[in-house]
Amino acid sequence: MHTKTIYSSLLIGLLFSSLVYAQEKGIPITVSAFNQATSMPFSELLTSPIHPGIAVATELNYSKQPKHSRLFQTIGASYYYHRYLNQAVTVFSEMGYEYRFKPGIELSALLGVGYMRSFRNATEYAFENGSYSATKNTGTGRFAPSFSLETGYYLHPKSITSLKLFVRYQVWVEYPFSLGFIDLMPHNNLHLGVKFFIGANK
Amino acid sequence: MKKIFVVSFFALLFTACEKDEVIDPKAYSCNFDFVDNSASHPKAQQYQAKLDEIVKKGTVGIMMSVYHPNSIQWLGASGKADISNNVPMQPCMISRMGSTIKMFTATVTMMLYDENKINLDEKIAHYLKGSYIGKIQNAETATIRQLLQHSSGIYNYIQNPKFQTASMNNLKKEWHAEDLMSYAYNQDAYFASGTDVRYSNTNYILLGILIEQIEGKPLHEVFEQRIFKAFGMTKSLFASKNPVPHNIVRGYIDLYSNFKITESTYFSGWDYYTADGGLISNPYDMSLFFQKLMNGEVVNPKLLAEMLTWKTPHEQDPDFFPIEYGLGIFKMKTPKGDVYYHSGDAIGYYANMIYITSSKSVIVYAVNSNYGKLDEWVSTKKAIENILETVW
Repeated sequence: MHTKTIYSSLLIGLLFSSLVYAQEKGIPITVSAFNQATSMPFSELLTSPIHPGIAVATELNYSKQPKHSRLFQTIGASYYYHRYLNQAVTVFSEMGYEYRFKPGIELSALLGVGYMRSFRNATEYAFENGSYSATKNTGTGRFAPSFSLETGYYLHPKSITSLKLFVRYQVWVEYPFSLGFIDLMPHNNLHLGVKFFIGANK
Repeated sequence: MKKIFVVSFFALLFTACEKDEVIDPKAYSCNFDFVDNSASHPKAQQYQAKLDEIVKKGTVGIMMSVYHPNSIQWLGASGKADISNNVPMQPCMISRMGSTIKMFTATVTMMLYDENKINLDEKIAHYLKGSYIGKIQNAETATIRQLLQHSSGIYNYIQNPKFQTASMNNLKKEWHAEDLMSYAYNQDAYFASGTDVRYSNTNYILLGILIEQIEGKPLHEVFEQRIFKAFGMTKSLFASKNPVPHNIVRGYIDLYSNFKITESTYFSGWDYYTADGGLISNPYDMSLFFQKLMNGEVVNPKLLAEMLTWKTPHEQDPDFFPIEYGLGIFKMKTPKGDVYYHSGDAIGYYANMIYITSSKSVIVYAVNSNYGKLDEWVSTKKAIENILETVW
């Protein structure tokens, strides 16, 4: 309980500081749609069937006047639906490094931590008092560290509030998956997203 | 707006949960085509109590056949065949028997050998010319006998983490031989062919392709004609004929190791078309086959003796009984004595067929739940000891 409180406080603190700082230039928002897959890291880019997901996040810049590169932190939430296994909500924060090239192309790497709540999407039966009965689907908690590589394009490279389109390949691990059986499960998400600013002064 | 979002989100979570199929319990109804005298077996209560105990430990349902020569055969069951539709398990029902098919694949291979259609000591590459031969290490050097005995050294595709994650990603995918074997491509062989033994499903996929090629017909027809019909296994079929029969008991998995299970009846798609898995049967049929095999009624005694020629692995699994490898059959050294056996897993199913060498007894049991915490009382050393203690 104590750990959870600290963890929640950290996340809320990060979000708050991010939003306050961002007020000067508007709040950066990234929205991405992604395909989630259980897959070994970097083994496959496109997988089927599609397990759709969506992620929404904001960012805090650690570099005051980013030119070619910036260090930043994200905080956000995501949801995905695995058609045969589960659906999951994750809150996460990532530390990122972005390098911009002159024509507006950027490359980024992000290292993240997350807390995932996974809900089975089939009827779940719990074993109690010697027999099975349908149980409430309250979900189970998971630790979800991640590593992402991204490339994107700023539509107006000279503007600090430019719209950005990006593709992100994210590798993440679900832990614990099934302790003593399959301890951790590797996943890949392939994101297609956009970054924009809300409340920015034109 | 915020309220609408929250309500919509939870509505999505709720509606995205699929309910288990509604099945009329009558769909599972079954009978034996003989008079079942199990109730009058002198140890009927003792055997039934053992099955009930296993169910009380967390197994969803179990069927068992206990055959001792010169005694009545006991057939029993406990638990559920289908939780959602509240259908009790019965011994005449059918279930998925996974890798136990390997004993049948080996038997058919021995029949082909007996008919001079193949030579056991010829390389598999002599018969199979598919491009997969050059992509699987040791496939060019391994003989048919080495495939049967798992002494080929060929990599087991199931152990490839890329296969494990891919099958998890698409749990309803139906896998064919080359799909599965591709996960053994360019993988290091475990050892030079013939120098050790190590279990590999890839061996039996190759044998299945060989059988289909020699016989010129699909595996399910070969098994049906040569085994199921020939030896009175009226409730048995190979999955490729009908991957999920309407009356198959539902399978369940404890995927997260927490005694919370979900249905997995449609998740065994890598067990439908290849000769390393895919048997659908029941303990009575399997007992019948094992009895006849060991009596020399399926293959002649000389060929049976070849099947029962053992090789010991250099390394044993410290968590299991010491085992030795025959051709499609294993020998297990238990504290009570030696048994011959083959077990099998599918997703949500487990089965084991055991022949007690000292008494010529045959014990077969099948359950419709596995993985996670459920394996402890079904497939582990402790579980087998527990069952043998009662039925020996």
